[in-house]
Amino acid sequence: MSQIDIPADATRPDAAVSDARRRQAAVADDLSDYKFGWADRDDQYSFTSQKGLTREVVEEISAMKDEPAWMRDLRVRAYEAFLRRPMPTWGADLTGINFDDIYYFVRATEKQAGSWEELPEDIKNTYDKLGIPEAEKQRLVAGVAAQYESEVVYHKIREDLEEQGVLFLDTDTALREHEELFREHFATIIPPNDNKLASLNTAVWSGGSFIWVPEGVKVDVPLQAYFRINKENMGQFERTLIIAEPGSYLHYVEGCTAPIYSSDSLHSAVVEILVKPGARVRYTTIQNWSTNVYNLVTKRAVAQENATMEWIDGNIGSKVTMKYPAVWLTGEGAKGEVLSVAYAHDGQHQDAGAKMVHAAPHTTSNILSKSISKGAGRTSYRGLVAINEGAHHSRASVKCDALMLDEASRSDTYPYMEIEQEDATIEHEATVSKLSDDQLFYLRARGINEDEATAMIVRGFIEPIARELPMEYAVELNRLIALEMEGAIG
Amino acid sequence: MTSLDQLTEDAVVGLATGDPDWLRDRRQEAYKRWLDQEWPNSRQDEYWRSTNFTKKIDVTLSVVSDGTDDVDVPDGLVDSLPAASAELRIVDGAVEDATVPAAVAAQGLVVMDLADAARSTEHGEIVRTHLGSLTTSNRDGTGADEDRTITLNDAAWTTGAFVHVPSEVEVDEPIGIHLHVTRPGAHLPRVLIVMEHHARATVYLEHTSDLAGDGARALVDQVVEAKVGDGARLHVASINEWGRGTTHLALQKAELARDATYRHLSVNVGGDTIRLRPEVDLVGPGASCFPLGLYFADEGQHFDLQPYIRHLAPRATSDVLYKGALQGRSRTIFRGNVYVAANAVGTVTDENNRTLILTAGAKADSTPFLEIHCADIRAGHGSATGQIDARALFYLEARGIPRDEALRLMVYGFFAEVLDAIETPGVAERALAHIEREIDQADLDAIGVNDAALAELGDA
Amino acid sequence: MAMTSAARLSELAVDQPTRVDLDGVPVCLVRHGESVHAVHDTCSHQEYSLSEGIVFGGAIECALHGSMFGLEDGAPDSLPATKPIPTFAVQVDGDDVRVDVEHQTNDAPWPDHF
Repeated sequence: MSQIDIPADATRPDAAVSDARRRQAAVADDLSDYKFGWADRDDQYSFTSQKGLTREVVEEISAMKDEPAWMRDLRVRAYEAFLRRPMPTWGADLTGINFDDIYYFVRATEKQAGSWEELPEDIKNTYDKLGIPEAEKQRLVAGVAAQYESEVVYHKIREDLEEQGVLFLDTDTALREHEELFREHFATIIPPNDNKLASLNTAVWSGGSFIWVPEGVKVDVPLQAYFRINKENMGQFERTLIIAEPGSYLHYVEGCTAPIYSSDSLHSAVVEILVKPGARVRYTTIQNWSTNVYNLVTKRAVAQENATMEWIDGNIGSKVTMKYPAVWLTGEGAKGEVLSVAYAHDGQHQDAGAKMVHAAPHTTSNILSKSISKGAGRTSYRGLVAINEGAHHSRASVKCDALMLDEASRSDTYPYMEIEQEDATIEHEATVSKLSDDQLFYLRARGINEDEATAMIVRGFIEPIARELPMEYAVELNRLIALEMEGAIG
Repeated sequence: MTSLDQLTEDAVVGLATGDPDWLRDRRQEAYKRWLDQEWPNSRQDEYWRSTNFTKKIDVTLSVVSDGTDDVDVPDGLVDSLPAASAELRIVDGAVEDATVPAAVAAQGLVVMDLADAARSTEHGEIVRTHLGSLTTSNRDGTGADEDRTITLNDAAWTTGAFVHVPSEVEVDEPIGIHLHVTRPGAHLPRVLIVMEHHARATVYLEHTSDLAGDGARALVDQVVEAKVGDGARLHVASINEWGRGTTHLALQKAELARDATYRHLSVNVGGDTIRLRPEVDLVGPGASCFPLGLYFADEGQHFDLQPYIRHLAPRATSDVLYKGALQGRSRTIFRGNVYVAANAVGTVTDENNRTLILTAGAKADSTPFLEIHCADIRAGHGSATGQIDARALFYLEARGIPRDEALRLMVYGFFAEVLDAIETPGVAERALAHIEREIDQADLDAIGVNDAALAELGDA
Repeated sequence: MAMTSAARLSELAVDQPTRVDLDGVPVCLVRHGESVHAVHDTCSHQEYSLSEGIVFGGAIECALHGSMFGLEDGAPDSLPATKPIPTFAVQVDGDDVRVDVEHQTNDAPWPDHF
């Protein structure tokens, strides 16, 4: 796992982070010259330069990418399914989305903020407080988020991957260079007509990661989005496909704790993961989109015999997030886990959770959800645990804890449990509480001010999940919490 | 008489014969609302998601609006009450008899036919004030009458019971209300309980049916409203021991004033389909409620139990406990919903659901919801579903207790928590009798036992 | 074996699902060229009528969540369905399309959502 080299004289975690950032900025400059990869043929393609979604836009996207006919047909089918299906009325309030007011295919360079000045105040404040150096700020302005490492480390990682035979590409390239493998798995876990937003993604997807890990190969370093070498890290309609062959191991990380500004108001990604027998995949996401974004994501994994799938899901940003990482346990002995952290402040609604479907015997699942609402923020846990007939001797457990910080805060818990197998065991427990007066008193009596005390309690509250994050994320998350509690940002 | 689906205004007016004007007007208003509504759609309506309306609720059944002569009402819970208890019997569409012993009548207790009460000069005003107060739209815009099956009862209830306990009157003996259905068709009974401040009483709602003829079916669409005044205490026990062919749809709702206490118990063991909404609105500070539920579903039975508690005032407490077992091809759904409003500071709420699945082919759902708008509260809920634990069974057998006896003991042990919490006399025994009957009928060889834990013991 | 008349070939449009109820069993008929396929109308994932969906590439898609079931083998090609649906023997005799709901041609479990 990649480590930040802590200089001998730096004893505070923040010093280590700023140091790492300086090195990151250097690498970033190197990478920023890369061309994305498709031809620049503006004169021939007119539909995609307009707002709104039509069949022509969908076909044009496919043509611009020079895709095989089957992919184009699939996109069109998905588009038609998108039209047929009404918007979901459960979950968060999505009435603010105007599908006609969106560019469905925009180059990376065109859609980010043009300059530092254009960024919203709250984001600028956060960057300043987090001590982000100038060069890095520019990069974040450009929407390319990453936890960078030094150039040497970066190149070493790419070499290792090649040696092991691991494929790690952006999805567009993967379709071009590994069509058969791609076609075998694409849209088999989330079909084109699964739900409205997944249909939309299937119609207009662009960018995302494709990872194939050969049998028995264990990838030691967490792979991150930026390793794909392109600026489309923050694509609006990313499509990610991960296949872990039997006995392999992979940890994939996306997103970052620093807030990312996006002029796109709708992010609708789809992630499909196939974990073959005995393999293990961990997928970590920290999302901190600016508060104009609707973040509606469909993430689903299949875990086969004795496979393990772990989703670590952190939702900090966006105006509305609807996301329920799912694991279908289709092989005997499969294991699924979701660790979910959600934080909502004024005007935010995090509607997140997990889905576990036990479709084979001796499968186990564990869901841990920790949510925090501050100000008038709203967090909702929404989850499903289903134990199908035949999934004998399966065990499922769900724990949801919610912390409400202020009078106007709101917290909901909507757990669904459906059991069709008599010898399965399901346990679910939820608590909702405010900051403990006792704990606050204790800390304040020791000279710690209220904001810092709150931050400490919140950190303790999410600790079981934060300790599973890569160190850089955990460190930054802690800093972010402190800033949020101070009311200095957000 | 008209079918539910084809309900006409004339039919509604017909039911209002002899009613005071205000009541006839109310029925007609409800009828108009009913016309504008549609039957629940299980695909769209979250609260009907688990019970397929089109498949389970037969709206072509005709309304039964009169009583039946010469019915041999089975001896049951109400029948076994002591002579000092007030009792009321409804057979099909009419109140057959209502008796209030002199001693308790002198205290001011009223137990009578609801229609008669509405018409009387003595009780008409009270009925007018409270009837329908819990089924029309509530303060925050939500209302039980969103559901067409409730509006239907508002418009066309055919018969009912009225219980009134004046201020500070404590009625020691339980009040027994027995509803017995013999005729196929749709039944629309109504119950109104009004507890003035500091009153105390216990009301049993005994539900039985005995339908003649193969394939005969009855749908009982019931509304029970209970208004519990300041400091008053009400226990309601709804014993749903219907015979086969019967579907029970019920809203049993209470509104609690300041410091009021309410215990509601539902014992669900009979009928083909039960869809029960035991709801409580805590509108007075310091009110407390204890919704308790016991269910045992057998082959072909479908129980959808939806306790819904709304904390609308500060410092109220709620403690929901529902425990049940399933055997054979049966289905139970626990859908608990606790809503805490922004002003409900100091709320303490706990909700627990435990389900034991005894044999293969059963399906149990549990969806305990929480919607919290106030931070200064304590809320929690828990749900667990599983089988009989092999380890515990092993220990009993190791002490020389034969397997079938040990299985019985374990099932009783499972329900003990609920049985112990039943404070109303006679009911715990009756519930226990039902559990025993279920176990007697069980194919003990088919009862599955979770032996995963046993494997660990073997290795130890 | 009880072949029952289910529909008239001339009334079945190509690749359009048609629902018929035979002996209390809901069946989805799809004409594909000159042959007719018969599958159980209920999706194996959740209780929904497959006849509400579209036919594509020799498979019928459940409109609820998009799983596609092959018309010949009843097997799903994607999640969320994990179980196949029963397929039935069909006999086309002139204009008469006959289906035997007692003769299942694959091993799929009978959909049982209750």
